[in-house]
Amino acid sequence: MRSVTCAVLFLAALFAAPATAEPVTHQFTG
Amino acid sequence: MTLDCTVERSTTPEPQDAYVTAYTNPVTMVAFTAGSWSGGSAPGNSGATVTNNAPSPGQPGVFYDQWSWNALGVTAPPLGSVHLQSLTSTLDDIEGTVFDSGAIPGVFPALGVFDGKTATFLLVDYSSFQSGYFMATLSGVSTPARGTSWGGIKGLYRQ
Repeated sequence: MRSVTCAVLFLAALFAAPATAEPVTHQFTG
Repeated sequence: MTLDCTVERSTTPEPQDAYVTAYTNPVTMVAFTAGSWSGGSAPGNSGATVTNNAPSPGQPGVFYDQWSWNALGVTAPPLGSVHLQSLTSTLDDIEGTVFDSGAIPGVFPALGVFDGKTATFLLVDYSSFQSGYFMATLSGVSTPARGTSWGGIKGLYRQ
């Protein structure tokens, strides 16, 4: 139970943390 | 034609008013092909704006969304004496349904939801000092998740 809680908290912190750099590449065609 | 535009989503937003958010130098790489002509590089400088639910002039109750960016200093081989001057691309959604904030888009929906979708290449002929442009209508877009970082994992859940 404790490990599950730790895992949930870890993932919550991971996804809540602001990215210092988050580039995306949009690939357009026309 | 193809047009790849890499933007840094952590660029500091600069709200212009209640609807428009501007970004300074958000574009870090551009690559394009147009027929047999191709080029690309990190731009010398760039700009972008995200418009979210702005009232349409003269049409109260009708809102629009827009993603627009431009880049200067992108290198490309000259076409004779004609040189690439700048690149601009704009997506317009006159229903105002695509964006829900002024954040730089992480992914785009299929371009059918946009009413205007253009890429414009401004060209200058240095032998005659005349300028001109060609404009392409964009028809497709994809934004592959980056597989080498947490961005790849986050990309599975992104909007």
